[in-house]
Order: sequence, then C-alpha cells, then structure tokens
Amino acid sequence: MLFDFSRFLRSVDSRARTVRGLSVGSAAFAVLSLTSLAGMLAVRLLRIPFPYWALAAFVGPPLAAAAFGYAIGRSRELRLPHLLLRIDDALELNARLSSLYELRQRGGHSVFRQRIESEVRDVTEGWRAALPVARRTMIGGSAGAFFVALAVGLAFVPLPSVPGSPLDMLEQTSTLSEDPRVDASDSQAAPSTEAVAPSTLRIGEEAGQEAGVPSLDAPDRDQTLEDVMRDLAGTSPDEAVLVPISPDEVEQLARQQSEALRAISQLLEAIRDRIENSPEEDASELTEEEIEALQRELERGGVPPEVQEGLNELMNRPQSRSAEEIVEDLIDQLGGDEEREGSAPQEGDPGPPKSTAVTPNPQGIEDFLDELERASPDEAGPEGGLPAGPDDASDRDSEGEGTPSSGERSPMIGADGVENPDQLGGSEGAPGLSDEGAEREAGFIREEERGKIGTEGSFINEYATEGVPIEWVPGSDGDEPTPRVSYERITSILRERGVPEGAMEIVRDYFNAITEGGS
Amino acid sequence: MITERDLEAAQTVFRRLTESIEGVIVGHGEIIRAALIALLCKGNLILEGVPGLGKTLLVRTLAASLGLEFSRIQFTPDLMPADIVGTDIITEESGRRRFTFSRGPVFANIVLADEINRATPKTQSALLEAMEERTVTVGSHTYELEEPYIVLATQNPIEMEGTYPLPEAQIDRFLLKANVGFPSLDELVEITVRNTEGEGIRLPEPTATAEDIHTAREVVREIPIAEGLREYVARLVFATHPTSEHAPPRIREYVEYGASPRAALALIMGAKAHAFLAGEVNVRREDIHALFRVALTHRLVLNFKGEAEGVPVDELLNDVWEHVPAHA
Repeated sequence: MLFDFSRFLRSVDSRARTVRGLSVGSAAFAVLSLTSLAGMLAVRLLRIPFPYWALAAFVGPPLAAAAFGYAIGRSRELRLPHLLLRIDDALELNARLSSLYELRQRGGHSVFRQRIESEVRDVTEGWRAALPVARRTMIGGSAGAFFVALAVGLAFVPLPSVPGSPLDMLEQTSTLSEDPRVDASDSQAAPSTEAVAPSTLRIGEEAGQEAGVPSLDAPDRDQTLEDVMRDLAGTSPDEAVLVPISPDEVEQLARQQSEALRAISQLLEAIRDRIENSPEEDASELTEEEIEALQRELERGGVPPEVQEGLNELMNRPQSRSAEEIVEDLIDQLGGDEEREGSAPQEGDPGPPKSTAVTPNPQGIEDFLDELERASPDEAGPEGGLPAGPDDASDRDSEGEGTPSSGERSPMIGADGVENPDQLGGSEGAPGLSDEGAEREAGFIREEERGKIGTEGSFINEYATEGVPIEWVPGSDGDEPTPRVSYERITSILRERGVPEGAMEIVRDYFNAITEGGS
Repeated sequence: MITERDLEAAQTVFRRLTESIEGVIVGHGEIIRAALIALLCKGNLILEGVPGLGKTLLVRTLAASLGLEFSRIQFTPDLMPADIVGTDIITEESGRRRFTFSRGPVFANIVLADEINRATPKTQSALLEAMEERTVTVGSHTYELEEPYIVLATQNPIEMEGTYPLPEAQIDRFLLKANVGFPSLDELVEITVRNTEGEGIRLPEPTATAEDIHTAREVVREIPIAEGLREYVARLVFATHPTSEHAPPRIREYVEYGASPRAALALIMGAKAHAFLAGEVNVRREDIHALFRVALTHRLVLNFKGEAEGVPVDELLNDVWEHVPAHA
C-alpha cells in the first residue's frame, strides 16, 4: 500500500497557510493595535471627550486587520517543494519528502518512489513541529492584545499629570465638572471670582468680605483659566464644559457681565430713590414692575451668584431685613465699582467710563503693551522681571518696596501701603485696596505708572499686574524712566508654567481682560 | 525503467568496486570516491598532489578493478598532439601502400594523463574533444571513443617552472578536482607494509564490467533530487560570482570569475552519484556538501588581488557554503 502522499500534502498545505495567515494577521494586529494605542493616548492627553461605545473604534480596527491579514496570508500560493524540504530538514529526513514530491511530479511508480514512501511512512507523524507558529507571530499577537488592552484600559484609568500644569488644571476642571457629587450648593461654595477680575478681587479680597463683595476662598493662582472663563460667563462649575474659548468671546462675556451689572446697579439706585422719596409706609416693598425688571436682568445672565443671592432676597420680600437695607447693600456691592467705572483717569482721559472690577477692557492693556513695545522694541530684558512665583512673598515685597519711585510713579499698593487710595484708577470706593494684609496676600499688585510716549508725548497712566516683567529704562536726555515689558520673559514664564503654545494667546487675552482697560 | 533489481545490483557492484580499490590504496577514501563519481557521471577527474602519493597507482587499480583498457600518457613539454590521439602512418600490405590510422593512448577506457600541466597548451587541448565529446578527430576522420571513458589527469602543484597551467576551457571540462593529500602516520605505515613485504602490491581482479557501469550510470541519472535542493545548488553557484547579490564579501574581493553552469551540472550529478555510492535513493543536502568543494574548486578564477595574496580557493568556498541560506 502506497503512502497517501496526497493527503499528507493537503495537510501540509493547510498547516502552512494557517501559519502564514497567523503571521500576517499578527503583524497587522500588532501594527493596528499600536496605532489604536497611540490614538487613545492622543485622545486622553488632549482630553478629547468620547463616549464609551467609541471604544469600538479602538478595538475594532486591530481585530479587523488581524482577520484580514489572516485571510490574505491563507489565500496566497505556497511552494510545496520548499515546505517539504523544510520539513525534511526539521525531521532529518534527508530530503526524502521533497524528493518524493519530485518523483510524484514525474509520475509513474519508480523504485525510488516505493523505497522513499516506505521510509517516510512512519516518520512523518511529527511533521507539524516543522511548521510551527513562529515566535515572531506569537510576540506580534501578544503585543497586539496588550496594546488593545492598554488602549481600553487607558479609557478608564485617568492619566497621571504634572501638578500645576495646564493639563493637570484641565483634568481637575474636567473632574469637577463631571463629578455628579458636586452639586449646586457645592459649586456655590467653590472658589469663585464671579464677575470680578481676579487681580482686583485679590486686592479687595478682605475689604470685599467686609462690604459684601464677592471674595475668593482660595488663592487666585490656584484657579484655572477655565474657572475664570466660566466665572466670566456666569456659569457654575457643574455647568462648565471644556470648550475652547476665543479672545473675542472673552471680551463679549466681559462686556455682557458689565452691562448686566450696570443695569442692575441703575435699577437698584432707582429703587432706592423711590423708597427714599416716597412718604408712604409700605414704600419699602418692591413693586411688581421692579421685581419683573430685576428678574429680567437676572435672566440676561452674567450676574455673579453673590449678587444673585442679594437680588433674590430682595425680590422675595424678606422679613429679616428691609428692602431698603438690601438695596443699600447691593448698591454698596456694586456702587464702588460703578463709581470707579464712571470716574475718569487722572489725566482726564475722555474715554468711556471703566470699571476696574467689572468692566475689563482687554484692549487697553494691550494698547499699552503695544505702545511700550513700539517705544523700545529692542530693549526688552529680564532685568525688570518680577519674581518667578507668586508664592515668593518676600520677593514680592521686595519688588514692591524696591521699585523705583519717582514723582511720576507712585505705587498705589505695595509694601509701603497705599498712599492715596483715591488714585487707584480713579476709584473712590474700591474696598480693601488700602488693606495692607490684602495686598501682601494678593498675587497681584496694582501700580500706577506714568511715562512719556516720545519726548513730548503726554503722560500715560498704567496699571501693571504683578508677574508681568516690567523694567524701568532710563529715559534719554535725562528724562524720567519709562516702563518696558519683556515679552521674551513673559513667554519664558508661560513656558515654565507649562502653558501650551496655543494657550498663551488665551492667557494673554485673559490677563488683558482682567486688567483695567489699559491706558 | 530502473527496477529494484537494477538498483540493488548496481549498488552492490560499486560497493565491491570500492572495497577492491581500498584493498590496494591505503587511505584516500575521498579520492577513490571522487574517481568513482567521475566514472558514474561520465566525467573526468583531475588529481593534484605532489609525486609519490599514489595517484598513478589509484588509476591503475581502478582500471584493473573494472577490467577496462587502461592507458597512461606522461605529459612532457615536447609531447605532440599526435602522440596522444594517434596519427596516420604509411603501411604496406600486399605490395600496396596506404595510410593507416595508428591510435594513440587516448583510445582507452581509462586514460591517465600524468602531469598534464607539463605539456604545451596545444597538446593539452588535444584532449579536449576526447574528454567532452568522447570522440577523436584526425584529419577528416572522427573516431568514437569506447564507453566507459574517463580521463584521470594529475598535476604537480610544486614544480611550477616549465609548466603550462591548464586553460580555463580545459580545466572546466574536468568534472571534479581532488587534492591528494599526504597520508596519515598509520596509513604511511600500512603503505610501507604493503609495498615492502610479501609480493608487494598486486592489482585486484576485475569486479565490474562495462555493462555494470552503464547500468549504474542509468541508475544515477534516475536518482531524484528535490526542487529545493536544485535551487540551493543554483544559489551556491551564483554565490561564487563576484557580481552576484548573494556573493559573500571575500568572493567579491578576490574572485574574477565564478563557477560556470557546468559547475551546477557537476554538483548535481556528482551529488546523485554520491548518494548512489552511499546507498541512498535520493540526493541529500550532505551529498551536495560532499561534492561542493571538489566540483567547484577548479572553477573559480581569482583576480590579481586574490592571486597576489595567495587566497586559498577552499576558504572562499567555505564562505560561500556558510553564506548561502539552506532555504530560499
């Protein structure tokens, strides 16, 4: 009985196709898995939100590639003589199988064929060991599975982040906004800079507590840019979503907030006037029209929660306090800002009224910086830089104390205290600005600087924010020193703080927005 | 068609033949095998070695064992082609004179061309036709040589002065080239015993006939070789060419010309004969390995650098063997 060589060949062919299919499939699986892992890493690092069902997009392609590769590997033609020779060598058959194949191709039944068949009949049992699944195949498959598992795991495991880095802050913000345990009351108690620019808030923190001005419970530097943006928009943390916000939107939000506060302030003053001028006993009660008007203003949005609380108390006709008292408190809260907004700069700037607290004018400081840049475009240097970190109180103090002081440059707030609070941007009632403790704890100081544009230009007033590296450059021909901003230093600081390149403009606009409207 | 009986008979004959020769020649197993392979493959063999190693005795023993006609030609510089192939001479028979062809020593079954490199190229080339076409042409007449026919040539690698190295065309016609080495100590002792005691060396009685050799040659040709091994042989030959992408670095550096296609034929046929002599029914990788050097060593032409540095061809062939993968 002849050895069933045909059947043996079919088995070899099938086995070889399977092995090659696995090889191609595992390679494709590994490559696509690695790609999926990279994609998942990118999604996580960039904090791109995606639903969990989207995990299929990371798992499906590798599996599909594995299946496709397996099918391709199986479908390709095989060279049986070479496979048989490989089996011969592996089983030390001295090329008998491949020679038998050669004889079979010749046809007929030669003496050589009979001899070879009789010799290989019993030694081909373990031929499958000659066509093993390659180690590379197993490694590729294992690596692919590992990559896929890692990609899926990354979808659930939060990535570690560098404390203080923008990603970390973004993570914290995202976590806060996604955490269902953070309810509305928590968000109300959360640190907020509602409706007020952080620098000014910082200055007036303690005074604000006395006068009912919304205050910060945490240092300003711990706040993320997202928090500030959200505050400007008047949204609570649990309402917050991570969306890109443009400088124009920042300006619009600030403008909207300013308008809302101004309207409420005017409305409250009208109510106060009516109450004061009315001889009737029940005149202290708000009329339906007034309540509706206040309600409309609240619905317009942009009103800080603290002000909202006061207005709600006023509209609900509280028994504990009279409406007049509440109105007075609210006017006190908003009044100083409104008065500061309405006051002109020292040099009699005829421009529109500005509010340090609630009416950020991003264009102002930007114009000022532009002017400085134009005045000394090549002289930016690090000498005038402020302390690198806001935590360094001593540096901050020394900065405040050691800043050159001339007749044109009188620090409004510094380690020396406030010499003339009225000169704070023309504000008369900015609460807390004279408080030394507040200014020491504040992350920002506010200074009025005066300088000349050119040799005969008019003086300018400017409010420099601590952290902005400004140096004083001696004027030409014995003129007084003029401030100069080092943009290189600014960029360096932003990079040290880990602010991404794309976010620098936003940060700059942010500080422009929270700064008094420039000169 | 080869039958089981033919196969068994042929292998038995050559087993006896090998034993018969080894009964006379001490050692030199590879040389004996090379001679038998050349005989089985209708090829010719060149033996290279210093005098006194038994080259001539080997050829004489082979001829005696086969019971075939044997002739010996001592090549010298003044040897003329007619001295080898023969010439027409005037003979007188019954008062009539006519030219009669007088056959030279090339007309035999086994021809020993001793120190073939001492003859002039003109005389050397007189063997070309006999070695390749198995014919001899004298004047306008071509004579067939009787099968089995084999030329066994020897050359001395030491005394190179006054010699004429074989041209490439002629040396390529030798199927194999074997280097006859010095015997080992025990073998040398045995040689002295056999030659100095008793009756001395006695050539063996014939153990095979021309018909046996013819049958064995048919069997050898039918021995199968796997396609993978055939391609392997081709890769080996290709790798001896300096321009080949598969050539090892030293081949590219020292070789001017690689082996010819005739080398591949020699390697495959020689491997078949080697398998036959080993009692196998198919060509194995080790058969190719056994024939690799003897089939290719005289077919590589070194370049000037290789000649100047005296690079051994065997080392280059070792590089080729190790460089070429067993599987495509």
